[in-house]
Amino acid sequence: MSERLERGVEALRGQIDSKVNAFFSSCVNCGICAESCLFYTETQDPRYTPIYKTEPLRKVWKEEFTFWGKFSKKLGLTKSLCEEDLSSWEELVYDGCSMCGRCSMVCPVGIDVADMIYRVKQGLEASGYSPQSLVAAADRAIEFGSPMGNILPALKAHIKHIEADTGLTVPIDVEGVDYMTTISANEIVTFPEYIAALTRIFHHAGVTWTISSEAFEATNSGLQLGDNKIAAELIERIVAAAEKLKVKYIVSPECGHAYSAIRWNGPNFIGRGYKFGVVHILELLDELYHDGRLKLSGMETSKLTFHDPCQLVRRGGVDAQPQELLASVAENIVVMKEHGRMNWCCGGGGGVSAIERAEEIRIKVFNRKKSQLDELNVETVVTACSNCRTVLEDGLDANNMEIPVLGLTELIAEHLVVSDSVSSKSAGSQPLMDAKSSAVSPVPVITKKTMNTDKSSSSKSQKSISDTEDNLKKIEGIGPKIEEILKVGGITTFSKLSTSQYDDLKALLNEAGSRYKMHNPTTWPQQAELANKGAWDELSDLQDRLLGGR
Amino acid sequence: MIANFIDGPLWYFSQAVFAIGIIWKILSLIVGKKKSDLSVARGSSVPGAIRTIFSRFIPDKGMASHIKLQIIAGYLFHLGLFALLFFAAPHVRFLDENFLGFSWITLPHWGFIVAAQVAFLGLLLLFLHRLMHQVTRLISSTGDYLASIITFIVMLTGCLALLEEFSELRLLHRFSVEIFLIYFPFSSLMHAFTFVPSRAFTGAWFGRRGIKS
Ligand code: SF4
Ligand code: SF4
Repeated sequence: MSERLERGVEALRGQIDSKVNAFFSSCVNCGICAESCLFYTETQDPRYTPIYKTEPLRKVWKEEFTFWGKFSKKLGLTKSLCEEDLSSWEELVYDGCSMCGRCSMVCPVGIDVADMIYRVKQGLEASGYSPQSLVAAADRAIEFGSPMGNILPALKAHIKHIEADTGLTVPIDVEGVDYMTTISANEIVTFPEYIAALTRIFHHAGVTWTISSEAFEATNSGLQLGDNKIAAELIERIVAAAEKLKVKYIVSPECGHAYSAIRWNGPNFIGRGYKFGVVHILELLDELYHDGRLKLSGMETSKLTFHDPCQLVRRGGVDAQPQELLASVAENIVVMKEHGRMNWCCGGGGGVSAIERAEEIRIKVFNRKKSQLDELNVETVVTACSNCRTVLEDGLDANNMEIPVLGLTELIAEHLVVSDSVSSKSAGSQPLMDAKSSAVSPVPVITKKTMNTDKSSSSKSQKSISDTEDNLKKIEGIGPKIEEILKVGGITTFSKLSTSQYDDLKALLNEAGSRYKMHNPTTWPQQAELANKGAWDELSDLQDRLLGGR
Repeated sequence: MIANFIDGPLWYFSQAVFAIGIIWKILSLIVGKKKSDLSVARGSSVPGAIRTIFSRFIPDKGMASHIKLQIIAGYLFHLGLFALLFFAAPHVRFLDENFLGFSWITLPHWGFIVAAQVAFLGLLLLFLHRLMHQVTRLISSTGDYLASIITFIVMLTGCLALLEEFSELRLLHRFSVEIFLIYFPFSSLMHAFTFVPSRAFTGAWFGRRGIKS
């Protein structure tokens, strides 16, 4: 047995406890769980059957914990777990399971299949059979504090903008406040408006809060990877920061995975309970709303639906709060046929969205959500998880569906009754979607018409400038569609891009439709400057350090 | 000679294997390694466990249309088998005379026939589904097929044994039951007992998070 395999088997063996014993002793291989899993229903590949994903663990259990297993091993009748098994299960478990936990709700003998899949992950990770993208993200989290690298400067830049926009202070490293807010990397990089929303809401409700510059990142790459040591180290940092700042509560961001990591798994990772409480942002908002500290006005009138993030609703128990909060600001809510704790996953949870090679299957399994949305024919989707949001936007984009996806916290912030003391440039009692559609853009307006339905004229306009333009796709993060947006917006050359302001680029993307909002142009001018100088080696070095242009 | 063996030592041996096997399994689940949960609970685990032990008898509504066959066949088989096992007159008499010392209402002859047919139909459908569906074909083990076949034989010989004037048929039924009892603790047939702790573990987990499962 190779040393690598030995490590894997050892880790899997360590996972076998009474629960696993009861589960495997009860499984009748009825296959019902397959029908609950979007990776099976959308691919019809039986290998994606949830319980089949636990096969490496079952093999070890059978061989070492059952009479027949031990007996047939003695007689040499069984094929023990081998490296090929681990290698093929790597893809099944990491790329083919979003840890959504739907299978755990339907098994007739009550097996928590998702829990067992996480145990398999730990075995795979111990033997080194885990996706490179997740390993790299975990390394960055350990080294720089976030899976996206050192994003403290980006956070500080956003905070500066928010403070200028709102006239409010975003408290950093303030001791003795009630709440320490954590944020997910995706919110910082892709949806900084979440931080602005928090700032306004907390000010409005008189909540004392802070962000720790030492531990603001809430996502846990260790949990995605199945490496409990890394997971524990990341949790320890948050715990240390919360204790140092003497806060009463940690606020988890919308991100369901982050919530699970800090609220439910954290104490188990570090082997002790916390001295403070943990609340999900929606639990806090709901409480503030019921206490009368969150005064809201205006109702969204467009037809919308809520996508329940699995880790929040099904696995996290924050179920009623999103419904109540949404109902307080929207009047035309429709629900998907299967919703709440039986919702269908977006397909990108459990680290799937961070695995580059899993993109194809992720888009494929998004078909489940697509059909749910097709049935409803909604104008807007609201959710409460930045990862779901990105995955939904990607999926909608891939299916050419023009449905904006909004974050619930931001939607709530847009409906705050504006007090005299708060000067918010974007706040108001006007419904968010209406406000969005009537917003005046500071940059050339790209309408949906020019982007999507009037392709001929758009390509004509591109043609007329093609002689003098650069290939902007050389910039990491810019693909053919974004290149078109930039060029129609007047940014046709590396030189122009290098002098463009972040806000202007972001506005161009926002104007182009919800699907482009997720792109982050922070590094584009820097990359363009190098391209403009012809410093291709330097550009390539820089791009090696970037992740999707971020 | 063989009859004596089947009615004597093998019968006691099979019962012992069955009983010890089950006690061993349940004890191993009770005393086995368990991970304690250090997070602050939102709800209680005990009500959650009890709830899930019962709630999983009813399939989820949204899932039902996708697993019609498994639901119908599963119910037919389990209900039919339950009726046969605990309400067939020979079984009640046997339990009364050998173990319990009391009896209860039994199925009339026609009731027995209906229960047997229902159970057979369910078992056959489940077996065919196992053989033909791409998912069950992939995940089923030899043990799953063996468990179905042994159960089928026990039921078949049981029906034949109803013709009590042929003691060979009764003997055949007893022999098949003995094989069943011996095989039981080492197979997925164990789910007849372990489904309770299995559902309870999951229900408790969800319960402390304040989720209905
Ligand atoms: S539904 Fe439960 S019993 Fe059936 S195959 Fe899946 S895990 Fe096993
Ligand atoms: S947790 Fe979700 S994605 Fe993973 S196997 Fe279960 S149903 Fe499928």
